[in-house]
Amino acid sequence: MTSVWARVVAVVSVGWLAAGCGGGGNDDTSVARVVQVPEQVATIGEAVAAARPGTIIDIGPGVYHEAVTVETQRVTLRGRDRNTVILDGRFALANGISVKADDVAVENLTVRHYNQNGIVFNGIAAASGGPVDPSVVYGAGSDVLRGYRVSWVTTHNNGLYGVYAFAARDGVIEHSYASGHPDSGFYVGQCRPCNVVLRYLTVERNAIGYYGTNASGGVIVMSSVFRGNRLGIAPNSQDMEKLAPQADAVIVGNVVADNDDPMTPRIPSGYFGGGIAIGGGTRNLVLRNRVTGHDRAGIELLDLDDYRPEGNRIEGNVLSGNALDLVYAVAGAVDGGGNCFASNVFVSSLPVQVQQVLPCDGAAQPFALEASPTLAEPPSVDFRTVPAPPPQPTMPQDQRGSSAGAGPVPTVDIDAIGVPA
Amino acid sequence: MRWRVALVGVLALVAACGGGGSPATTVPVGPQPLNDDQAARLAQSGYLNAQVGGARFEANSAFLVGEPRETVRLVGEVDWKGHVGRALVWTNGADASLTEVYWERNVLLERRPAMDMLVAARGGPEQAWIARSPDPSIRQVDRLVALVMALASEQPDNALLIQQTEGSSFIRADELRGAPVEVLRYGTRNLHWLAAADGTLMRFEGNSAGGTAPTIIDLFERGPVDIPTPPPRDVVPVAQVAELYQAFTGR
Repeated sequence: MTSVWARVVAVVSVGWLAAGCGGGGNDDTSVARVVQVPEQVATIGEAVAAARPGTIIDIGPGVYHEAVTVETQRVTLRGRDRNTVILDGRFALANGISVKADDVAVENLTVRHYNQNGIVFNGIAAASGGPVDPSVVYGAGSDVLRGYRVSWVTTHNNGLYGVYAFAARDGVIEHSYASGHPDSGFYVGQCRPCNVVLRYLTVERNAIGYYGTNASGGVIVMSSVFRGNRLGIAPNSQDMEKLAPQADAVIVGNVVADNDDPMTPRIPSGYFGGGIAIGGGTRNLVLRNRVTGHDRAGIELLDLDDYRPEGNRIEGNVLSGNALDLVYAVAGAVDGGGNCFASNVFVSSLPVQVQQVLPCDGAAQPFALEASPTLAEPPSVDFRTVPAPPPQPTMPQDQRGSSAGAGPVPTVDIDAIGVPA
Repeated sequence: MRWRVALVGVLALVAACGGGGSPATTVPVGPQPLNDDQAARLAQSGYLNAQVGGARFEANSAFLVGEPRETVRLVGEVDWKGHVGRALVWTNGADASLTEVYWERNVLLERRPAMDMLVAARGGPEQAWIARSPDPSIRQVDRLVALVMALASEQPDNALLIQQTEGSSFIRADELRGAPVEVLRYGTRNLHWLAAADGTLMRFEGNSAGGTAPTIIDLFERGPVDIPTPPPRDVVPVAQVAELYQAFTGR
């Protein structure tokens, strides 16, 4: 730490020195300190290491072959241009930006070619503050990272996830893009409550678009486009993480299209060709999404890891061009598990006439359980070879805040979100 | 039988010295939680294997259930990318007549020279490869083959999940075949010996949940491999010699 600080001192301006070397006397963040990379500090890593709460790290165009770890709270990493500020792991580094502190934001840059994740909000490191204790249930209670935001960020061709929020709470992931990930583009996992809003995303050519294993409470996935993945959106319960079963996510107002693209990395389970699949998730609301063009199923409820989907409400969605539009197919189920379907526009379902069989405003009717649809998976595609995305819209100047940190989670009026065009 | 003595010897070394490599150079550091870099290297090791293509290997396993206790040793080459492998076999028990195996994703070919004359007498080739479906749930040779294949993965593992898995830890720095390694435990049963220089997997040590199948797999000479396929004319589906096969193997 001392050597890093010494190097920073050698190059930064007097103003930055005065703000940064104060020895902890003033954490007032009403006016952010701005540090420019590379003009004032050569690398992002050096700037982050020397940052104090309230620092905005303003990153100029360039390709930075760095693995950045943020351990200071209330910091913003902001690229000046989303498409020309690039963190590149050259398939040799693990994570592009690893956040281990509360209230950190990442804005307006590209993260690519890391072996693990583009950006990871690491709640087990933030909560433990040191060695991880496997006996602790990270992601619940106070053992959690608090506050994170990703805005106007492009992630592509990383080895697991584009943006990974693990054991983290109170987040926003918005106006961002992810492609070419062999697990998922965006992932929220092992948190209860999560209190996270994912909005205005474009997610394509990943194994899965959004994956939410054991991500429960206050999860909103809204107004985004999920297309050309092997599976679009998947809240789910699994024992590989803690805090199962998953519950209480809202999937609303998304375009979910053609998630049966063979030119993608495979899902380890072999699943292929679904729009929205709730694997053993509970009490989720799937509302007013447009779901089209899936060779397996549009919206599907299925079991996973011996968890059954229960109490999910599928309502007001518009479905077309799917092999089956609505599917409830749970191995060995003797009833509807409290799941219901209402006011959806669709053609086909399993069981047939699913809205009469599993209504939201009355008792479930007896039905013959049929086998879940299957679809043979095509060969996997190496995540490194998925084509890079075209340039993405850069962050508008008027959205670049003057204070550092993630800020509050926005309030969302779910009822105001309709079916997208 | 000789390999079994060797395996027991290695395990004894593990117990006595805390290392299976070169006890004289072992740095005695106790288990510690994995740090980020160690977890990332562990997460990456299987993916690295898949990327390099293949390796030469030696695999030893003992199965400590039933009598006689079955032991299996495989020495050969594996092509993880092509999902192909070939190995000489030393084993006892039901498969004692097995001398060599070749496998692909959905088929395993066996060489059992003691069956050759009988197969030939039935109109088969002089040196037959008996083809059957792999069944790692009941055949120990197949289980060891499956373990060798499982050392490679088509995508990286998740370092965070490894870190929060009970038992995952840094065991010690050590030396193996003259090279510095770090020995990392994944969960409670599996040790991965990773080259300090580049994180490649040099040795895997594992066991079954019940502790009844101690296994050591050493990897050498990593890189693309070209594994010769047995001539198609020598391949005999097991169904064609079912009675004979049953007599030899009891299966």
